[in-house]
Order: sequence, then C-alpha cells, then structure tokens
Amino acid sequence: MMRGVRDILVKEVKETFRNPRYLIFTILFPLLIYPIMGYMFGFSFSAAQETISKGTVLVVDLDKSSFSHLLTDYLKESGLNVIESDPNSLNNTEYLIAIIIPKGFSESILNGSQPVLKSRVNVGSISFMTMSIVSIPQSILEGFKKYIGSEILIENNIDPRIIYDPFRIDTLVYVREWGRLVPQPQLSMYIMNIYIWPWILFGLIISILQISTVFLSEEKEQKTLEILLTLPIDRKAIILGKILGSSIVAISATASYIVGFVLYIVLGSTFFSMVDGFTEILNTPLHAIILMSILFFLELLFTASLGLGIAVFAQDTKAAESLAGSFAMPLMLLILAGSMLDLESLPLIVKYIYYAIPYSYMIKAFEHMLLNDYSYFIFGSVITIIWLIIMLFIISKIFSSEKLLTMRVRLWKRRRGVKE
Amino acid sequence: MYAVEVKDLVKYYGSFMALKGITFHVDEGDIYGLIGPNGAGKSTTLRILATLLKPSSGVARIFGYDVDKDADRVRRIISYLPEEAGGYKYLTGFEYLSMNAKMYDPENFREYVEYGIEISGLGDRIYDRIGSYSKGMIRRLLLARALMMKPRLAILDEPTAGMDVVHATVIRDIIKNVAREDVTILLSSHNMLEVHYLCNKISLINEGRIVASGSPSEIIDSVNASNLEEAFVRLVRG
Repeated sequence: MMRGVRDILVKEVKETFRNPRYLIFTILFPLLIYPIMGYMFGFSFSAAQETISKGTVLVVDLDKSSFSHLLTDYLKESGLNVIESDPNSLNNTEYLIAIIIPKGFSESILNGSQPVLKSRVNVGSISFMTMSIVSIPQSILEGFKKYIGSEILIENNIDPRIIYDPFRIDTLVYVREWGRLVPQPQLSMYIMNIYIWPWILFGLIISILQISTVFLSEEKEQKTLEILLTLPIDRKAIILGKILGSSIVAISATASYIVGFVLYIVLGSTFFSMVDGFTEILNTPLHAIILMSILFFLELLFTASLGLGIAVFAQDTKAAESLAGSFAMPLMLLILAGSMLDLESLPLIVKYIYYAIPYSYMIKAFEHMLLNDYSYFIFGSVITIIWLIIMLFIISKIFSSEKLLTMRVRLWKRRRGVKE
Repeated sequence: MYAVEVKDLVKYYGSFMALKGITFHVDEGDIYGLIGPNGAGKSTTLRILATLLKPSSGVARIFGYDVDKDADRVRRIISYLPEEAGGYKYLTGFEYLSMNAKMYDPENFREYVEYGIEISGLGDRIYDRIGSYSKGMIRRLLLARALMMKPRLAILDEPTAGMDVVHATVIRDIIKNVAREDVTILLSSHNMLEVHYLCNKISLINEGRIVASGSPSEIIDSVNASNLEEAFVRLVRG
C-alpha cells in the first residue's frame, strides 16, 4: 500500500468514530429508527389486542331482548371481558369499551328501521395503538351484524352467502414492464417497498455526502490541511486515505441501515405477515441481494469521492454542509422523476441522460431485485465505477495543484485570493 | 550549497502581486528570520518554500531541490509549522505525533515520538485528546511535531503566535536547542525582540520586497538604530 494511506485511513476512522455527531446521526439513528418503526407496526397491533382482552367491556342493555342477549353472548365468545351494567356506570372511566344497546333494538332490527348501537371507546391518549384499539371492537360489531343477518336468513331458509358474498373477486394486474401478472394485494406491498427504498437511500447518500465533505473541510477549519499537505507522502495517498475512510463510514452506515431494516422487518413481522407479498420479499435470492448491495456500496463510494470534490470549494464545514445540502434537491427531483415517470415514454436523449446518472440505478433497484434482473445491477455498477474514476482523477488533479488552498466558496460567494 | 536559496521570487494572487521579486539565502545551521508587518509577504514566502504554493516566477530551492519541480523530495527534508494551525480534536497528542512520525519513518517512529513528547513538555496530557488542550498546549504539540524528526530545514511561521510570555520563552528555548542538532531553521515573526534573541541572520520584508538582510546587529548598525524595531521603521520609511 502507498506510504501514508494507512495512517490517513486510521486517522480518519478514529476521528469519525470518536465524533458523537457521526455516531448519533449515521450509526445510531438508523439502528433506532427502523426497529422503532417495526415495533410500532408489529407490537402496537398485538399490544392493542392484549389491551382489549384485559380491558373491561361494559354492556348497557336497555332492551333486554333476544337480539340484545345474543349480542352480549357474542361479545363474550369473542374473548372480551364483558360486564353487564346500568347506564350510571358510564360515568366512571374505568372501562375500555362501552356498548349501549338501545330500547327497542330487536324490534327495530326486525322492522328494518336500523337502530343505532352506540359504542364508546375510552383511550388515554392518541397513539399509533389507538387505531388498533378502535378498529378491533368495530370489526367485532361488524361481525355481529353479519352474524344476526345470517341467523335471520337461515331462519327463513336463505343461504347467507347469497346476500353477503354472492361472488368472489380475483384481481390480477399485468405489469407490461415486468411482463407478468401480479395479484393486487401483492402489488400494494411491492409499491410500498419500491417507493420507500429510494427515500431511505436518499437519506443515506446525503449523510455520506455531508460526512465526506466534512472530512476535508474540517481539515481546513481545524487548520490541519497545510501540515497534512507538507508531509512526505504522495498527495494521492491523502486522497486514497480519505476515500477509504469515507468508504468505511459508508460501510458502517450501510451495515447500520441493514441491521436497522432487518430489525424493522423482524419486529414488525406480526403486522407484515398479514400482508400478501411479504413472504415473496423475504424469499429474495441471496445473489440478488449481494448484487444490489454492491451497487449501493459503489454509489456510496462515488458519493464519498463527490463529497471530497465538493469540499475543495468550501472554506469551512458550514460552507461544506451547505454545498453538500444543495445536492439534495436535484437528487430528490431525480428520485421523483424515476419513481413517477414512465421512463419508456421519455425521449431517447432524456433516457440516456437519466441512465448516465449513477443514482438513477438505486431508484428502481428493489423492483429489479424482485424481477431477478441482474443485468440492471451490473450495468448500474459499471456506470458508477466510470463516474468514480472520473471523480478520482479530478480530485487528484486538484490536490496536486495549489487550488486546494486557494479555491474558496463561503456561502456561495466566491472570494479571490488568499490571506497572506 | 545553501539550505534555502530564493532568487527573484514573484507570487501573484490573481492580479495582486504578493511577492515582488525577493532574493535571499539561508546557510545550513542558521536560525534565519523573516521579519515584517502583517501582509508583507512572509507567510507567502514560507508557504512557497513548504511546497504549498507555486511561485509565479523566480527560483526557490531547498538544499538544491526546486520547491516546484522536486516538491516530493523537498517534503522529505522539511517540516512546516503554519502560523494558524490546529490539531485533530478527537486524536490524542500521542496519536497525533505517532501518525506524523510514521509518515516520515514508519520503522523508527517511536524514538521520534519520544523526542516529540519531550519537546512538547506536555507530560501525561499527551495521552489526552487534543480537543481538551489549551491554545498554548496545541502550539507546543505542533512545534514538537515540526521538530521531532530533526528535519534538515524547519520552516516555522510565527512559532510563538498568540502565546503568553512564559510559553513563548519555552518555545524559543526549544527552537534554540533543536537548532544545535543540525537543524536549519527559517522562521517568520513580527516580534523584533524574539527575532533578535533567536536568529543569527534576518531579512526585513515589507510590501513584498526585502528591504535589508544580514545579522541583527549589522542591520541595527547600518541605520544607526538602537534596536531592531527602530531599524525596521527607519528602513521602511526610507
């Protein structure tokens, strides 16, 4: 290895991993946020079920009729902790759910005048779990509606399926680009993941861009750059050390995102397992995941070198972060264009430009992974490598000149010359 | 062969001429001072000699190596301390010295680090993070970094800048001691007393031009001044 590369690399890694800002935003944040999201999806559902099974369901029966008794029994059989009570008990707030069966409930059902069955849900505060708590008794009551309807129909010798489920629906969506039919529930799952992924990577790219930009701009701000440039090592060793340092940052950040995402899936499995198409995503072949990971890693490496290139123009970390942040908008537009537009219908030149941008390939990476389209990843990786080489060439040219010390941009205003 | 040879050196920043054809030389073993007010061209000269900036025209050689064409070779025999310099706040002083020493001599870096620790006078604080150091401690660490390798030429830009009297005295003594070990020193300062104490030869620089060169006493005598400060004022005002 070129002399000095290892020392620069070790320095960058030590500096980065001892920096609380980096640890919080790049390592801890994805490790916490995704599992928390998974927890919200998965455990809020089971926690809501548990809350309902433990909570008290007050039934205030003002009718005392056959259907009201039937409803009370139905609620008990559904596993709810039912307590029959009088209207005064509604004043205390100890109950979880209160169901008030109005006077004339049975009679009104039979004469078709649609009685109103009032239910009250008592929640401490509004949270993600509230939706599940409210929806579970609602669906039990909906089930009861169907149940008594079925009872009435059976009494009159009519098969309830004729009324409630006269035919089944099987919707398949043919995706021309994919060349295959996809069941509608699976498509919803695909779309959710296809559109979420680029935005997760968007966050990662912007954070790597800012970190790699800071790698160099901090040398300027801490006034360490001049000493670094007079050390008896090749300037290419400095670049390589910094790029490798950034790549370790990229690897650790990616690993953190992957661990976070796996935890998100595991913790949210109670919720996701209910969604069709989830199993297919879990069964993605390993080599497809590896190819996608290589593409992502190359894109992050390119991002690190881009950050180093941007930092040449920045005088301090504030200017560097501002310059790096200015890449967020074009990247967002690229993701929106890639996600929303039908690329096949675009003019040829626009299509070429789109596919010449390394970041274009991450936008539909998830989709192509599901389709086992490996050529997409190989082509994307080649394009990214070409850009990486171009970027490294430009940076090495700048590092070998005095421009690194004399080119300065402070909040977009260019200053000429340097201070003596 | 001169340790430093500067001939008709010119440096432009855009259209601004920072150096207007300066000429001087430093003999091996000298402690040579460049003196002048802020903006005179001292730092630009030192930055060119440290291979950071390229000369617009003229010659700048260190032990016979051209600072532009043989920059890699020059960097192997010099060390440079900028006027405004800092350390890596998340590294310890020890790690900082080790990192630098390894780049000069990966095999024998330990002995240089030990010497660096001795020069810095930081004691056990050398194992603390640089971020916790005072300004004076950082300057001592950086000076130790510049001198621990016993380079053939140490280029020190305002070595005692921003330091109190006590710390500045310590640093001056360090420079004097290191110079006894075959290290040629080229330093800049606007502190005339410091230069008089440290340097055996000096050049007075003003507005990008050398206005006088020689030993401090020669310069003082040449204008019948009582001290270097007075001599400088007389020379600048003509």
